[in-house]
Amino acid sequence: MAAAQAGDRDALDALLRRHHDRLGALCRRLTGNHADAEDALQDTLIAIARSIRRYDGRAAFTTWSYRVATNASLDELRRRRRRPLPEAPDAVAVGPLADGPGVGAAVPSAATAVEDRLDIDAALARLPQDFRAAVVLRDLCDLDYAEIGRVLGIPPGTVRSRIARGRAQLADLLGNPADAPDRPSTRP
Amino acid sequence: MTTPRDPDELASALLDGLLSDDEAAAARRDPAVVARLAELAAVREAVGTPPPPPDPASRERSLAAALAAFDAADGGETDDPAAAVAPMTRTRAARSADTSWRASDPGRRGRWLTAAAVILVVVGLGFLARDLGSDGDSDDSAGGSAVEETSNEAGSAASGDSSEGEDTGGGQAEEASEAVDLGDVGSPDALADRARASLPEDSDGAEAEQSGDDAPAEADQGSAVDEDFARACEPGGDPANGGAFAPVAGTVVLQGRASLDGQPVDVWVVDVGGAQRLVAVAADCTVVVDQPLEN
Repeated sequence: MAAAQAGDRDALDALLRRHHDRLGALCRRLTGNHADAEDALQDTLIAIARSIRRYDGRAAFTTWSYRVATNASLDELRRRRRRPLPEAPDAVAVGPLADGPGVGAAVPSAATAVEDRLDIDAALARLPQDFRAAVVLRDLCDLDYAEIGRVLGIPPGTVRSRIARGRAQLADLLGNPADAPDRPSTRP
Repeated sequence: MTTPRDPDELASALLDGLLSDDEAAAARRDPAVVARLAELAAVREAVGTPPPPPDPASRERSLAAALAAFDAADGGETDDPAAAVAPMTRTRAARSADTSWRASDPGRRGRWLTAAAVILVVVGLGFLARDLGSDGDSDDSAGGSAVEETSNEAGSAASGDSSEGEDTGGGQAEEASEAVDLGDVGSPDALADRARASLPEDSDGAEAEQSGDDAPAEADQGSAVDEDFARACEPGGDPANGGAFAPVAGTVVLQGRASLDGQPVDVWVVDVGGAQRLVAVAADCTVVVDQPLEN
């Protein structure tokens, strides 16, 4: 870290490589698709590279970088909302819908439904952004509530509420897709 | 943190180990909470399973782009507006299905960003003119540590809740008399319609004189610009705060405020070389609209 801040290009390269997949996973879960995640991740890495000298260590680098990645991903989502949606070759469906149960078919348990990772992306895409970010930062990034509060700029009590409501909505989406709201964006 | 009562919150708190032993024992005696706990645990496990990493080629392109940005900054280009706005101001509405151009063609990206930076010239003027009031924190290090100190900006970035996003500082009341209220709109096009309807009659061709009470404030008139806000929005501002602005020159023909799809935004119609552009910026300095304003 110190070497990268001092201008050591190789040190920055190593730092970014070390955090690349972690940040990529966050971007993927927040944006819900590969293309947007790639864009958000690249924005994140560029922003970190440009700002590393100004990073002063008051927040852990991991927390700081998560915040950069979260902002980049949410920016990407905002841009996506303004773009016309092309065809959706890699559209995914939520849980049981993806399995195509017929009328009267048993609704799979949440535990069964969540086995399909693609379903999780689709279910996450249906969550309000506020809830999605809180849940992903907690369950994927393993941040505690205080850290999530700092990343999102909200009090820990709000973090707790958003995580609980987000998880509950995800469970409902995965277990009861018929009650789910609109289909998610299927931009490739 | 108070003990939650809602079964979902109880189950979620139990899952994260936030309850005391007594609270946890009580929660585990509630069948509804126990049932929900299993579902939420499954959700947590699924969300916590990392997606596959990007392919190696994509990874190398992204890293190369980041290192190129680092090299450019190392070469004294940190004040380059194009570089400063890079993460926030791409024009990608017309982007094709092939999204790899951003990583594979930095030169093309740079040209886009340079153009975007020019457009943003006037936005900075507006920000500098905003009198948000100082909170007394004069630390202008613009470092990456603003995680603790600018939570409002980041919060609004992550929130679609207008009630949160509207709380952008104490200067709003005073500013209201200068900015046109464009109301609630659901899309950039609707915002454009409102902005067009609010333009002064002589605004074509950037001839608006900036004088009198109705004129947008000029950059150098901005006094007591909130330090955190300026830091978040200035070139090279902390990207963790969404900061990436390029205050430069331009002609503001309309300054207003609106709620765009529930998100509070500041709005400018600016004249760039005789062509008007509509620019809307969220409280975290993110450019949420940047498009030509056709007459």
